[in-house]
Amino acid sequence: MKNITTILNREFASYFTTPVAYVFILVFLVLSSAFTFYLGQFYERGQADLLPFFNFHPWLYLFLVPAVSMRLWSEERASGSIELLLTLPITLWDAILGKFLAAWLFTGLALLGTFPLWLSVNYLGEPDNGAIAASYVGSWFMAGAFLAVGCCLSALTKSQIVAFILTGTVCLLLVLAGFPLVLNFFQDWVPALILDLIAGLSVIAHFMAISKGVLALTDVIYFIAMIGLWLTLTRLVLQAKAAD
Amino acid sequence: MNSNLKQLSTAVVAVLVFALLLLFSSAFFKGLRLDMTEHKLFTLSSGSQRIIESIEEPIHLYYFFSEESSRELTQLRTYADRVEALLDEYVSLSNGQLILTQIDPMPFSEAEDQADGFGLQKVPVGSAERFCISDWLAAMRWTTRK
Repeated sequence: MKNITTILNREFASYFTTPVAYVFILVFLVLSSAFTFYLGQFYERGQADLLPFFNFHPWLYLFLVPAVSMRLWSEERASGSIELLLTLPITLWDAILGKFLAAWLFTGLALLGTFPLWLSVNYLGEPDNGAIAASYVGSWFMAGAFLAVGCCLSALTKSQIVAFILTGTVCLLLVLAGFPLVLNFFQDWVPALILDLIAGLSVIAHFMAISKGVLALTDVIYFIAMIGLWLTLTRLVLQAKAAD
Repeated sequence: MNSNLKQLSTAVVAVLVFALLLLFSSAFFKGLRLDMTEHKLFTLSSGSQRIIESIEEPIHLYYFFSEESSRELTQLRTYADRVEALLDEYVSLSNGQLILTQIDPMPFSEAEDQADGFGLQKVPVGSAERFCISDWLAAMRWTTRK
């Protein structure tokens, strides 16, 4: 546990010693507000909620989260510092969890930075703050799931660009899993059970369910299982690569 | 070689566990949810609870949902899960007085005629015109006829 927090602290601080943190947070805040007010028609809707804000999160995370996760392991691999890291007296899980949690907390921080929107919607009307809190939780879980995917794919390669593109693609598939685009492809030759499984992979469906204000155990399990699966795969990738 | 095999099997086990969790969590943990909305929008009010508990004669609820034509409509399917969870909650509170029947109105089946008989209308979904979902309000209304 102590090892995890040490790595977490070090990683978290490293975001702020480079421009990464500032660029990420600024772009996230600007884009999410622009989407909310222009594409989401926040004022025109005349409703006191943050749905137009949260509806764009899956799409925003699609290219912003891979940008955070791409350097997690490929940077270590490219610079060779991974050898030093893995020979330190810590377990592989310590390193993986420390790095992942640092990135996850960092996206959480960016998410918290959107509080002026929450203030303004409360100033303008009487929104359902419980539903907004649930949406924030759902959005953070979703960022965590994308980060876990990125963590695994970043461990695969030395090149951050490759990690970025791979992560973006896999996350796009996860977002689209519930849409006809993907389902039509499988519909004719896959049994209904498998088709349900593929549809159940859809990040959007689980996120939308939470953002209505109902925190169902199944949705929480989905996100935790997703994070668990990809971090387990990260560990396997790191082990396999270490053997080379 | 040996360690490679071990890693591969770990990966396969991890993916399998994940798939099973996804498939069966919705069946096992159906009703377990935390309603965070301020006015408890998704929780039965004490008024509805009292009404359901005081039902004296059996009432049949028919819930029509077309599995086949909703296949690609993921959002509608998650909505259907919620409707189902709500209906189940009614039934569990009713001391057996509410009897829920789930019907999948396949095209050209008796079930489809039954849905017609209740006055449910086909809703065009995608390319074909099929039965989709009966909103739970509609479902409730039709039952009072029985």
